[in-house]
Amino acid sequence: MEARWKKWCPWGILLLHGLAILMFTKGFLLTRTELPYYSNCSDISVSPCLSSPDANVDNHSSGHSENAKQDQHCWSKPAVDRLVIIILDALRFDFVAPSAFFPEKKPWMDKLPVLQNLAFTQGSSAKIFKAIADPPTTSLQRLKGLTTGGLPTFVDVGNSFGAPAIVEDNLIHQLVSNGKRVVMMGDDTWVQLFPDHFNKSYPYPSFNVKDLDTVDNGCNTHIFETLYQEDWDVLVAHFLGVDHAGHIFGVDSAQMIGKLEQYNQILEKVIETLVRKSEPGGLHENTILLVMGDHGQTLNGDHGGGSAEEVETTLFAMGFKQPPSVVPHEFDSSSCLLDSDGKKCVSSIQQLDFAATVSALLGIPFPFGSIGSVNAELYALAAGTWNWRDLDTSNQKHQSEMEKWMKNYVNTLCVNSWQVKRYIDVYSASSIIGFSSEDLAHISNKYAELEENWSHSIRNLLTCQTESCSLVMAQITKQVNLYLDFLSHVSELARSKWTEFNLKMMGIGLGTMILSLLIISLALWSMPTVSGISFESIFAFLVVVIRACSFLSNSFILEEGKVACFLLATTGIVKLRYSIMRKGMLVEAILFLLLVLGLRFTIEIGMSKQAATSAFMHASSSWITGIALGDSLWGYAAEVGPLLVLVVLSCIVYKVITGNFQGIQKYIVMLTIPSYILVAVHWVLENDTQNLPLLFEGIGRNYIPQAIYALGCSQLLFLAFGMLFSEDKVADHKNSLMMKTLSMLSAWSPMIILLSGKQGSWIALASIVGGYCIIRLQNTGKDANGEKARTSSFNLLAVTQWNLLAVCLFFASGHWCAFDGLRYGAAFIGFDEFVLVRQAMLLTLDTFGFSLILPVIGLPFLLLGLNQTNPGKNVLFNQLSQMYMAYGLITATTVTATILCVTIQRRHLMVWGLFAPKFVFDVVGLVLTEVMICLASLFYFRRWVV
Amino acid sequence: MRKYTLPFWALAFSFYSTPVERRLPILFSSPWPSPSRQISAACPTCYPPKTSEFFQALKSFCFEDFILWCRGRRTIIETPAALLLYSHFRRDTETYSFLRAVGRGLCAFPIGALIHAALAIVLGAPVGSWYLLKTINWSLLMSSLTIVPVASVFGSSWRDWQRVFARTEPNDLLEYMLCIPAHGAAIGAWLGAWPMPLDWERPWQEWPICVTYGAVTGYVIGLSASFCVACASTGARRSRQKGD
Repeated sequence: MEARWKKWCPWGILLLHGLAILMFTKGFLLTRTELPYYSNCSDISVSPCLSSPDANVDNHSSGHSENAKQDQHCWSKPAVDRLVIIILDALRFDFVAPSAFFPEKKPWMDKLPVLQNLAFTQGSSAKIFKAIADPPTTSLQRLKGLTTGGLPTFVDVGNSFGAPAIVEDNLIHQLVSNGKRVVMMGDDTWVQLFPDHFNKSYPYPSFNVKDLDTVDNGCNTHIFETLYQEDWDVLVAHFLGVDHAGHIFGVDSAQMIGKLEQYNQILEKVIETLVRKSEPGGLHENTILLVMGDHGQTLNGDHGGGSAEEVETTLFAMGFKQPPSVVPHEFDSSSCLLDSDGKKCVSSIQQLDFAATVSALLGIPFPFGSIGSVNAELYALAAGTWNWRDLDTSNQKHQSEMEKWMKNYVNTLCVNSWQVKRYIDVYSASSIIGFSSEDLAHISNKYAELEENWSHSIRNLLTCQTESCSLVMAQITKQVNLYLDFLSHVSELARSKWTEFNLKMMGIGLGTMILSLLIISLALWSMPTVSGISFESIFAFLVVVIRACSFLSNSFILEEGKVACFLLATTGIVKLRYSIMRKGMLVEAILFLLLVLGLRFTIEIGMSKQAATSAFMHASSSWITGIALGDSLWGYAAEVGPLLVLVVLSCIVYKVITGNFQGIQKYIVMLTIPSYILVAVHWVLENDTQNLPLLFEGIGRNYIPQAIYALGCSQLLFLAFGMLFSEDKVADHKNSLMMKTLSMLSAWSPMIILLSGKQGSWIALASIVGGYCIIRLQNTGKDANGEKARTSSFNLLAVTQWNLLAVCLFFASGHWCAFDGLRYGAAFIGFDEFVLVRQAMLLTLDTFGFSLILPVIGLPFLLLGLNQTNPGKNVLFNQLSQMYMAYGLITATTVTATILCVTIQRRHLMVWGLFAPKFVFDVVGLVLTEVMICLASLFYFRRWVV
Repeated sequence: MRKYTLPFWALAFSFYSTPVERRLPILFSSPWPSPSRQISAACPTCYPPKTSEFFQALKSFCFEDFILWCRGRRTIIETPAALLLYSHFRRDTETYSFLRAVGRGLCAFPIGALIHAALAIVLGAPVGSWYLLKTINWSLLMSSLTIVPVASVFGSSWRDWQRVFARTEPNDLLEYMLCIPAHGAAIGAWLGAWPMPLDWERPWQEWPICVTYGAVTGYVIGLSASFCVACASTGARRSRQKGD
């Protein structure tokens, strides 16, 4: 009975941890599905809104020749011809807003006087907005949010596999597909996001945080000549200096003030140029200028989280034609204050609304996934949204202009609401984790009410042309308010779904994890065969705890490979000390240290590769990079070395197989050797494909890897069936366990080696040597006197070493815990086309093959290496299940530490860049480890417990 | 009793005679400019140096800079003090002369340094021409703290070495004073390595400065602990003798 209970133990742990992780992830990793749909001009015919309200409203001008051109518009009438967007990265609200708005005047305030002067001049068409961004406030996510009009989360599930390019519908895509020409300059993130959208682009590298000037100077050299050119419609200039100055020196620094003063000069010149060219018929007659930040920053220059300082940025908008009047006070969001110079007003806008408003201004379809609304104040700022013809601003004239504007605006909002509703419907239909049904029903009700009101009364009011319909202002205003209410309701719902951590869920998940750890360690402690407190078990415990604690700092997460190697070397030194004490196994101890040395250098090479792609690492100072790999001798060694090692591996496998197996099992396991040979052939063919006939090329590229997969899978199938049907009544359970382990390892290894590339054979050799040393060394720690009493216990330190070695192998095989650390090339070995499940499996096999699958499968060796005379089958089974439990516990401890760290650091600057990827890798690793443990216990324990 | 406390006082004096903070910059300033300054110089591609440059640097170090560099280094002061003192208390007084004990201590000095350097590199100490001098310097210091005293006292008696270092079973007061500070220095150095990866960008995070701080602190704590143990055990013995 007890034995059966034990058999289900790993499954129980897996279930518990799975639940805990699911809860935590649901609260922490907000996910959103990217939809592959795009808005089109023709979609408007499906909407209940008027496709061209002005044609009916404004029939006086029907005789004009330019009216034909205007009728070609898409969703709304284009209000501006050209758009200049200047993005100043990490622009705090108080950089732009007058210091009078804040309780205290700080040195960095009022450094952009040109914007303030323009905005507060009486009757100007410039305005300062407080723009509220949504977390995560990192540049990449914000640019995505600004252009798609959505709320990008950390995990946007979509079909982009590695490349950061935006695949969702977005503003830039709409611009390009509607014939607008876009010019970009500055931050090269834009080029990554939109690889082939720009007519012209002047990208500058953005990852060097210490470089305050390259990007800005690059923009500065190109922006003025571009402003005089005619070959563009939208200009995007992205300045980075303020962001970098904040990161390095903080907000209150001379460098920051210098940057702001430089921007003031640039902006002054830009506005001067635009104003000069804005006379009727001029190049910038109908241009609008937007100066904006993508997010704010704290006083230390950090951003990424959701604090007020980080989300509050600013938007300065200026049209060069004066609109005749201001928006009705119902839509005026501005907060004003009176000071000695007069009344100063600052309005407020959500960054979410940016895409919709800009689309409406330019007259292009709104991006499909946009959930923002058209902001009344920004929309009214563009003179083109008014049908105003002369400068007669008498009261009656003003009234009727206002009415016309309102009619136009209400129709735009109608289109806007229809588009948002369409997105919500499509999203909930196609996404796995959609909105809850009550929320959806609520939205649908609201929208139905709106639409009914629209089609029964307002639509007719808009289209009627008699004088009797002139007194409808109140009704239109009511409808506009209803639309805005609907849109804000939807965006609030989306926000709660996509930007807010669910702390309760996170707490429950974390609590469950900690509880499960306590339960498992208590269970392990209470097992009769586990030895009491010895120096070794305390040391092993300390090592695990130290490693877990190291995850609380981002520096240690960055250097995780080195830390694991350091701890592994420490255990190696302790073992060396034991072997000196016992006068035995000195060779193994030294060999183990040499192996750690090799791993250490390999990990450093891996990290220098990471440094090349990651923005978080400074250039590595490793001397190894100095070895020129292009050297012919090195190149030759790099070619031949893996093949030689593969030969050595085959010899080892052959020797082991012939020594242990008989009968049909022998031939099944023997299949590993042809697999190894095929791997070698594949590598050779890969090297010089140009010297071979085309036929061989095709075979080498795809058929050979596929043959290896097929061989491996058939071996596994045979083993599984063999286990089901064989009646093994062997007396020697140790030997039977060893045969099972060997056959499993040899079935998995060729696939993993193939996927890891040429380093794979080296890593395989290293894992064999390391495993051998750990197995041999585990007997050194036992006290000579008390040995008899504790023969049946397994060695906790050895299990810890096994785990650390696996972690080191993860890093040594060129992986790291970030999504750019995945080796996407491995997913396409043997296959050309992309099938999600298959390629994901190959990628998982490559990523976790050496660090997770092989160590878990090979763990029984650790037990077999113990100096114990042939134990009974139940003893062996108990020991093995405890060993697996201990291994799972070690992995779970580190993962729990990661989860704890992520919870604490959820507002940290690097939470999306560093902690969240680490969390994802760890959690996937833990679940996979426990699944493997379950499968391994199924395979190894069968027939023992009946 | 007096016989055994003498080396303690001597060592403690040699340690506390100059403050650590003032001594360490001298100790670890190498004759070359620091690597970080070199990277930020006009030629970033020159880093890391080519192998030939490394050998040139090594040559100039061996023939010209070494004498200059040694001047004022604390290892050079500390080692003779420890060597002479511990040689005086050598174990096999009858067969070995004082000079012979000094001689074997001197022999053990580079060997111990080599062992320490090897272990440090396995643990992850940076490797390369920039760090060569620093590693040598640190390992010599570690050798003078751990290996040299034991070599002077025990010579090549493997059993004694094994007992003190592998088993940690010191028998008498002198062995306590050899064993505990040596272990303290090693553990201190290990703990001292932990701040190195942090992104505080302080100069003392460079290899091997904080490791040396850790080692010296561990050694001093070990010395004090062994002194306490010595006092306690002699006190116990005295009271036992009185009781007899």
